[in-house]
Amino acid sequence: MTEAPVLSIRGISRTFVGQERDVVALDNVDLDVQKGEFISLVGPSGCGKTTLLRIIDGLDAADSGTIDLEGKRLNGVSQDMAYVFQDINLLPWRSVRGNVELGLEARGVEKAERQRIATECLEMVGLKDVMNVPPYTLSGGMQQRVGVARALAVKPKVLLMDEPFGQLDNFTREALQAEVALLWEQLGITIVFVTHDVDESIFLSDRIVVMHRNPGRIVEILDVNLPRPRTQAEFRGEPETISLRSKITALLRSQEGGL
Amino acid sequence: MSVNVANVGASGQFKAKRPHRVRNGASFVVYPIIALAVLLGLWWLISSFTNPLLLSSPAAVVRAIANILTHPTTTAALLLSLREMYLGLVLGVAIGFTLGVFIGRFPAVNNVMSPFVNVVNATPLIVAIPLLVIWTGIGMEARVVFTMMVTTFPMLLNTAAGVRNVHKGYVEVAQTLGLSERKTLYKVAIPAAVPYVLAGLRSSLSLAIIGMVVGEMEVSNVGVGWLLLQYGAGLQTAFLLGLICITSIFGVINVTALKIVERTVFRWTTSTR
Repeated sequence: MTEAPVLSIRGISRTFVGQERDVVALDNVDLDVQKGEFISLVGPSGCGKTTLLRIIDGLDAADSGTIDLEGKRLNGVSQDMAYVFQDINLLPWRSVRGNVELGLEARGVEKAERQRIATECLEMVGLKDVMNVPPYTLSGGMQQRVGVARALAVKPKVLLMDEPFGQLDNFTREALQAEVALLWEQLGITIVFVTHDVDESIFLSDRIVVMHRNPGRIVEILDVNLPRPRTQAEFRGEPETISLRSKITALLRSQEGGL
Repeated sequence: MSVNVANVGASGQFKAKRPHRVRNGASFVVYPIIALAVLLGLWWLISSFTNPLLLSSPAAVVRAIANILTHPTTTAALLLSLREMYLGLVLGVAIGFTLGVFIGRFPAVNNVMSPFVNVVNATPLIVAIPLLVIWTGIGMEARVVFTMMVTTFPMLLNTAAGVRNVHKGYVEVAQTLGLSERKTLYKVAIPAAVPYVLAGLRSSLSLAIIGMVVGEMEVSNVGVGWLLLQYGAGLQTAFLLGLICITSIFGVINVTALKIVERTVFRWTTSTR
């Protein structure tokens, strides 16, 4: 990869000061994300993967270190990235489409254009039919689809996804994984994806960043050499998947009791 | 946000509960009617062998209500009271909401204001009436201002609490989508505070009636307050009871109107999330 990375993370450290003891969530983390890449951060809880994602987006501030997006130093929340939360937090007083329009309202897009883009994004996630209902009438899987549409509506260069399917049942999760993979291929955007589900990371990613906790740091970055498009039925049995799974599991297992 | 996967579809969310709701719906109507009938029967029975000066019969009270609602002097008094009540309420609620938003949004404003707000809120505002009379005379102004004062505080305190306690997840959504501080306030914090604001409005509505009557009894004798004093002085028990019924109907109308607004305009506040 000779092209300049879209996202360049250098020396990020973050310590949470607690009453009992301080927790080093991230210790001097470096990472380059290539344009158009699907990259996953995998690790046990407490390894700082969500913290890193929040710092990339600007929701949280690092104690030290820098993040460059396309060569530009980031300061605060970037308008070129969007975040998909595990707790989707759709605004209950707005319709489904109203929720998707929120980021466009922030950018001063006029109403007709806003509605057009929001409708388009909801169509991409298969929810055009329910765009006028209140979000709390939707199932969890549908709500997270709205969460994805809300993020896509602002046309982000980098999409940050924080365990977006963590609260969904197995079938819904697999369906959404396939949809996200498809959207990523169609739109050609860069996705940074946080998960603790090893198979999910293999199915989705080009590269998997395995993290370690206490202190939070990157232990290994693995390439996923599986052809695309991948299917849920087939990828699990591939030799590449089996070898990656055992490698990642071994790396994660070695951390047990590591506190 | 808790998610119930079974509750799919715009109209489907109550389906699982329907049998339960129907039973409740019936009991909400039938039981109160039975209770009312029993109460009326008892009242009628007791009043039939009691001095009518102490307790008038239901029929006499109904006649008194009809009389109050048709006589021009009394209807004028009622209308005057209503006008003052709603004027004071609208002013109080508007001031309370505006101050509440500022206090809830800006910690600095909260720090400056909260000692004053707490002291005034802890003071029984009726002590301010003589001062109000000195400032504004014994006209309508003093009564409206008094109603305004008593309705401001529940609105202010609830709105401030609502704006201050906006769910952190909503704020982060606004942040990551790039909403400015100002847009976050208008589009996220204030809408999110609506359940608190409605609770404040509910308190203000009941206090408005108290403010109205107290103002009319203490500032200058007009409206419902004046009628109450007249009937009391004249030992007109049936008219007193009738006027009490009319006043409570004012309250019921207010609360019902608010409930209708909650269930239509702000339906999301009553729906499960």
